[in-house]
Amino acid sequence: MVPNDGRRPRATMPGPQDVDEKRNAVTPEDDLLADVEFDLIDESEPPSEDVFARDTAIPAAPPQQIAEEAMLQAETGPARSPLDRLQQEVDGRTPPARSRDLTPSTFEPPSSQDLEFDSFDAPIDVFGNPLPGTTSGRRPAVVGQSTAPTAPPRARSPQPAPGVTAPAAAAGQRSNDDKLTQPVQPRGRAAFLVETTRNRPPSPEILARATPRAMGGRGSPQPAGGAAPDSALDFVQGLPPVGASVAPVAGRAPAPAAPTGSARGGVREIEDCYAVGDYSRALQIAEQLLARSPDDLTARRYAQNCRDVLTQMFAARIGPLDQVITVVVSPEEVQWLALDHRAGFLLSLVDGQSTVDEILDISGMTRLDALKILHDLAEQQVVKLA
Amino acid sequence: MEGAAPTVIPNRGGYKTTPSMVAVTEAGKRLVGHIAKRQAITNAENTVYAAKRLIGRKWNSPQIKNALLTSSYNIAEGPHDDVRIVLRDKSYSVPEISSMILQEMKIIAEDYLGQPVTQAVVTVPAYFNDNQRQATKDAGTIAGLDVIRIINEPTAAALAYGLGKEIDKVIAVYDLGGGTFDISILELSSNGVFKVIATTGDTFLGGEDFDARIVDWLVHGFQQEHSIDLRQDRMALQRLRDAAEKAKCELSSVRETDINLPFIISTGRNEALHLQRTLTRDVLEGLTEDLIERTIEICRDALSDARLEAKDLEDVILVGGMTRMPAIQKAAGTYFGRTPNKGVHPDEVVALGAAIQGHALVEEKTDMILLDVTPHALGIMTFGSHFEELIPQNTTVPTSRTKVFTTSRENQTAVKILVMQGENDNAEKNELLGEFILTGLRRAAKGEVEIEVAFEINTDGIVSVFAKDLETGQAQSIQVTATSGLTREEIDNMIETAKDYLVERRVDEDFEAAKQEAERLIAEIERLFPEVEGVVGSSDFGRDALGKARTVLDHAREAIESRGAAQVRQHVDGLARTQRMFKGVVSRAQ
Repeated sequence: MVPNDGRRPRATMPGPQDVDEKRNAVTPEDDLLADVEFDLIDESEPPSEDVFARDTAIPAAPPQQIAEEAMLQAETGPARSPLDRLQQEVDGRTPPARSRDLTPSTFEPPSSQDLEFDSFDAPIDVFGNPLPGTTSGRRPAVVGQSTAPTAPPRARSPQPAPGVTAPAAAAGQRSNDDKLTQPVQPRGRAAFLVETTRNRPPSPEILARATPRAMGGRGSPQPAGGAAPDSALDFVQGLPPVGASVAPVAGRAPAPAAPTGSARGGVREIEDCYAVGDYSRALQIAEQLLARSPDDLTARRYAQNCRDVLTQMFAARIGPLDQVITVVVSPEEVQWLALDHRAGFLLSLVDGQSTVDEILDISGMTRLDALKILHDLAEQQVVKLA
Repeated sequence: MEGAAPTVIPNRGGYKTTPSMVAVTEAGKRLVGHIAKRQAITNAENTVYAAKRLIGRKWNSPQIKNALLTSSYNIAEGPHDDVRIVLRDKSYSVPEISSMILQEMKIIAEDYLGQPVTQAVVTVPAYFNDNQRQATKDAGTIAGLDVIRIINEPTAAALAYGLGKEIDKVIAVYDLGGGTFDISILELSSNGVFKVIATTGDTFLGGEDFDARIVDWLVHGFQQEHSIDLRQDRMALQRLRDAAEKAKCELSSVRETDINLPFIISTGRNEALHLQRTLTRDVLEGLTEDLIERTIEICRDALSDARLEAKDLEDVILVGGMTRMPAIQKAAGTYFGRTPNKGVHPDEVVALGAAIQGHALVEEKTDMILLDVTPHALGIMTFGSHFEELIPQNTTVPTSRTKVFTTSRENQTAVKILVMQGENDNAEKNELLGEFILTGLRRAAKGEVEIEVAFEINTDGIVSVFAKDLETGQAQSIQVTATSGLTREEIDNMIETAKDYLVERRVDEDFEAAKQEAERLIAEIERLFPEVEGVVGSSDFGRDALGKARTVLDHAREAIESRGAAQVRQHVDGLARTQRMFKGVVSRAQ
């Protein structure tokens, strides 16, 4: 063992006196609050850092793309997606109101609402998410300066029409009624099968008709078997583990071939997705590209950036990582949930004492994967953050 | 010691025992104890367990060769024929790993006592040799502890057992822990003398073997039903291990328990499978019968070493959580011919004994004399790689023995004395402690020159070996100082690194405390904001004030983002004032 001659400098801990000095720096005379009740601003404070100056700042979408999308939107109307129309054709009826996780993904240009960052009001973070503990406020002006959407457009997913069983019956969470009517698995059987209800592919008819053109011409098809994307976060659903094989995830549509089959085409597609803030899709394509060309530095850089952004998105949505996380459904109910084994594993780590951070530490997954699953579990109200 | 009674301090999770496990996460974070155990399978390459199998061992030792085959983490050769463990591309010595556990214990004790902890009594298995004991001491030093005494675990157990009792008898200490099994025969005297008269064990037999049997049973059942091998999935295996341990513990008090692992594995066909089985105590006992029998075989060896029979024992102490298993209690009772003593808490008894010894040392109570024995035989290597024993195993220290040897070749003018420790007749299979050469012997026929070799072990366990040419009186000697395989400089560097870690950790804790306070205030202000806005928001002054309050919140959040404890504390005052004012406005409006 070579002695560590170049030892790193030792960290120092601020002494209590340092803190006291700083606390006492404001004398009663200087304390404007003593006279003016609400004068709380310390004007000497530097302006906050421009978050968009970070590596993960969102690039502007190519003007041509924006124009195309605007034109398409003008043609199709913002209220319904192309897939809604397909569904309508299939069913011969107007799809009902949107419901999450019940239909295949849809692809439509961003509506003005999407461009409004899901109507978030301030304060929001760089991804447009409300900061933890906030309920109202201003939007940072810088968000308004961006002309590009910073999250993928919301899908307009119709309710399953009667008789359409494919994704509708399987996708998403089971309803409470479902739970009640399901027979309780008798004990004594060593193990039993529960069908997960996510990621079932839509019917071949829908897939066949859901061409990129029908999807509004926006890039490649989305995972056909995935739950209908409700937000940018849903797009990442079913992503293969980072660094894993890019074989199509079970239940998803086959990964789209690169437009030209070449690395350049793949990179262009990544850039396009990245430009519109569809980081999960960009990551997926980047990982597929890396599987074919592991030395592709551009793809690698994009993949890493996407992971960083997505990780921050999920972390922001979950809130402080030092929160204790608890399971709020009974063990009997757990087995009726629509989870996969990874979610099941994470759920098994939730013991009512460990914090989110501790669970991330011991999960053995990447932070992105673990955060995404925890976020989904919280969304499904399987777990609660204290 | 709280008053006259020793107390075991619970760790941060509220447990009174902490698994000796250390892990490094992908993010470089260090995990110690239970939290490390919970990810031991999913992060197997970076989780160290059973470090005591490696500590103080030489790289070429058979134990290390065995560990290379069985360990999931990466073991590498150190610069001094010692052993290093590689975690996330960083190499650690074994004492350094052990020091992380000791440092964690130190922090827990300091938090509990509210004062610095600088000294420690550390217990080790009775079979530890001098190098292993020295390595344990080094671990304490790296952790910032002055190890004032190393005592044998069975001795500590007996110490706790004999506390305040006037007893004079021979007892057995049956210690089945998480990864090792030890059996020791001790003689307790009414004058307070505790003498280890025999100790033996198996370093690869413990509670985790029992868990493994349950895991095998679960895996086999699942495979039969679904043709899926759960061992291929680390997450599934981690859950199986955790569930197996839990079920095993539960079966010590109930006759059957359910093992329910929903979503244990996905099949790749949009299906997730559950595992649900019921394990009974009878099944568990059937699965582990041979393991229990192995412990009894080792007990038989120990009694043989002590030249005693089971009927000579007057008590049997059970140590280690595994001894809560009824089948073990029954087997031990049957073999020793008496019901094992349950008056001592099996998980805490060793720690309690160490506390008693520490208290006696600090208070300078000389009435509590501890007599230990040499854990292994000491001797030298002679012609043909034969091991010639001078001090037998289990000899009470201090002691000294002398033996005369002759030359083995014609005209031999020098002899090389290889000082060894162990029980194997083949010297090469024993531990080499040191060597020296005695020169200047008279040229003579073989067997003619006589050399006297003397071994001496003092109360501190330091071995001195003397060799003397009986004809000329020429002598040579060596003092065998135990070594952990680390140089002084390395230890100093590790001490500094450990201090750095401690400082960083304290800074992090400081920040977390400040952050929690700030976040509590932010949440409270945000809660009041709409109400205050409703009261004062209609006036220019009110709007301005609300804007400023919002700025205070933003700045506080930025400070939290910056992760500086001092910065956050700076904003806590402003937040507190804002909160007070908001509360004032709301109360006045009501």
